[in-house]
Amino acid sequence: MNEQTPDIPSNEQPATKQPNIIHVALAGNPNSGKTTIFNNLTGARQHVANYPGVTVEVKSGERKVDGVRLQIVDLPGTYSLTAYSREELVARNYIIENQPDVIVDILDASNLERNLYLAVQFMELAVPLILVFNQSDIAQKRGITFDIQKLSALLNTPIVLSVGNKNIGTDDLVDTILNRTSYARERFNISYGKDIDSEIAAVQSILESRCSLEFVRNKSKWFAIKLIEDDEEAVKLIQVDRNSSGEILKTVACARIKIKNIYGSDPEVIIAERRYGFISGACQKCIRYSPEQRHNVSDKIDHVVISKVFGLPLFLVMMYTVFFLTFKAGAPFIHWLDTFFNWLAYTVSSCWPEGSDSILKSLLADGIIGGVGGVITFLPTILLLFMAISILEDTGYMARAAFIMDRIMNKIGLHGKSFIPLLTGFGCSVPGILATRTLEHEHDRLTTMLVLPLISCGARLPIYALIIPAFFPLQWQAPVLWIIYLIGILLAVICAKLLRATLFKGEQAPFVLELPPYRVPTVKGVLIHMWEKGYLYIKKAGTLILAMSIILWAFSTFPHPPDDMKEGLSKHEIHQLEMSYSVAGRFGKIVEPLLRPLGFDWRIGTALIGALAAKEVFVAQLGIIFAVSEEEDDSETLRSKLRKSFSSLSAFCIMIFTLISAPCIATFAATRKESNSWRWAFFQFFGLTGLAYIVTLIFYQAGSFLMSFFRGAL
Amino acid sequence: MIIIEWIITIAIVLTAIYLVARSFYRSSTGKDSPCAGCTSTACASKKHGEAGNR
Repeated sequence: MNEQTPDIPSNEQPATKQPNIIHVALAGNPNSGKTTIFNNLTGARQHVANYPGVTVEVKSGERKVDGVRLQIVDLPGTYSLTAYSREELVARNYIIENQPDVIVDILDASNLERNLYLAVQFMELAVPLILVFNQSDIAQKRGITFDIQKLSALLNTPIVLSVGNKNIGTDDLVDTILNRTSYARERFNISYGKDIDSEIAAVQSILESRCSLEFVRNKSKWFAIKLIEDDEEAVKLIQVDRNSSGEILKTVACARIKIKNIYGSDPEVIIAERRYGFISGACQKCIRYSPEQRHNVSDKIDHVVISKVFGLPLFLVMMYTVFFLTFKAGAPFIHWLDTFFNWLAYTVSSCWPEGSDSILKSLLADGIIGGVGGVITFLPTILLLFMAISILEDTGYMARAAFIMDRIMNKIGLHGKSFIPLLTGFGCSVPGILATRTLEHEHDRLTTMLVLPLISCGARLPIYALIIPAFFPLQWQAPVLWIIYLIGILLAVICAKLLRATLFKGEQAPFVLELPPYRVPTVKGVLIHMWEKGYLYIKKAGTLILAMSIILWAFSTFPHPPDDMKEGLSKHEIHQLEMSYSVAGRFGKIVEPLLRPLGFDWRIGTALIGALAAKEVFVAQLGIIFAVSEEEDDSETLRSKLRKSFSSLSAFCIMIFTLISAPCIATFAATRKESNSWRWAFFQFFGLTGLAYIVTLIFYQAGSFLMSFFRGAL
Repeated sequence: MIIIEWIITIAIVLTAIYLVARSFYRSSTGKDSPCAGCTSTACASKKHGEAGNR
């Protein structure tokens, strides 16, 4: 039975909600069939009133179901919740101020992507929501089919199919409303890209700590987004709070400038794009269109880029191209840096008389310049790799790569969302591990966290950059690096699968991967990303690696052997004796029997220990150990020394071992903190080292066998 | 001269040991970002704001 209400809710907070009254707000795009649904629900007996403060009409009506009164307010038809029009303002103010029990968003199912834009903004508001796919019959006639169950799970929102003009789906909607109000108000997060997300977080943080308006603090994320979008109403609201508005608006202005610098567009444009990206990602998974429905440029490109046939091969080709260009374009820059550090070591050494065995000279030339210089030499490789990744990210390709991997990972029973922390892991494992917080289930989180160090981080790149050119001809350098990265990804996938099948059994939560439209990246944006990575690398080289190089130099130099042991030995033999007599040498000799089956000697053993502090220290330590004389400690010399000491197979095995073995201390600390357990941190540490040992042993022994077999056959 | 060089060397090595130990201690107790610094929005360390608590 339907009744007419005398008044619609006003600006005031709704009266204490009784269990038998449910406040429903009906929203939707104009022409989505909202009025028809409203009439179906209320029996077309609605009250029309002016919403207080503005002159936009708002209708309200009522329906009684099993003693429960549904008070239904029909909000003005809008396309979004910006503050550009009165309708939009009325709709959003009503929701924020009156806090209806549930919002029913009516969508034109035949034009879903456009209509979902409003729905996404309701989700940002973190309000209880029901989506009604109206005119679903027309959508069906146009060749659009939905996987409603999957889409509902992805958006974490109930979806009801309806045909308003035939009154189909009304009862389902009423049932869903009755059930929906018992649900908790869930938070809903869309990623707007790492740069915008971090700016939103910064504004959100200052709103929560400084703003005195409680409802702003309660919806801090939404207000942060609106402020960054330069929403006039949100800005006015913040200005009310005179004590903190200056500081808040200053943070917002900084955030807007930073985003504009990176993307070359206003933040509101980029945020809108990201919302459409989210919608596009959800629709790609759950909606099938007939060929004529796919129209825009991004869709056309995606038709190839994320297709089941071309998607993965294209991703692999893209990775190969990035590595090839990184090596090819980086080589001259690396040579210049080599020359520079060679000159620096020579200049420092020449401060002492020729042939001097000064301890300070050795520390400066062998320890500091040999160690830190050896690491900084590979800065061009790091910069170029991150420039390439930044271009791929900014164009929107990396989102597609994640989409391709998600499909594959789902097929083998893994959570697709895991790929996002794994992608972060290509830069550094630590933020990757912290990014696992986006995974809702503990099992997914732990699995991803434990296998994440298998994704080759940027710190391992100097090791590859040192070894690959030393042992492999130019045409093989990119393929070898490509294979190393692929081995890491494959092992991560296999280990995750094993963990999910044994220790972490359980269901997976669905999720949406955003597919933003393709964009031409701005030069400024790419340079900013490249500089951020380069700066961190230089900072690390100047702090942790510098300190570690000094310590490792001390371990490789002290104690000195007694003079009587040096009698009758050549200069080279004396150096070898000094090295093997040192702490590092003695330790290396102890672990050498373990490492021999892998094709390594004691020197690699000491470098591996150093790599526990930071992977780059492996290169620094090799530089120190192989520094026979100050004239020969540049990296080219180091490469030639490595060539003399190891075979190509051993070199490949060194890279495999450093790829898989125990993560650095920072990663260990991050795993401990994030898993809140020493057990998982040690499990990861020893598990990966054991795996590295087994895999490297197989590679080396099988490789040695094959080589001797072919040599014998020839 | 040799003694001065030894003193300087020992001072540098001890400073390096102190800095590395301090860095590990601070990162393992959460006083510092465990990473060398990152731009990840997911990073929840104090250094990078509260983004990770989303």
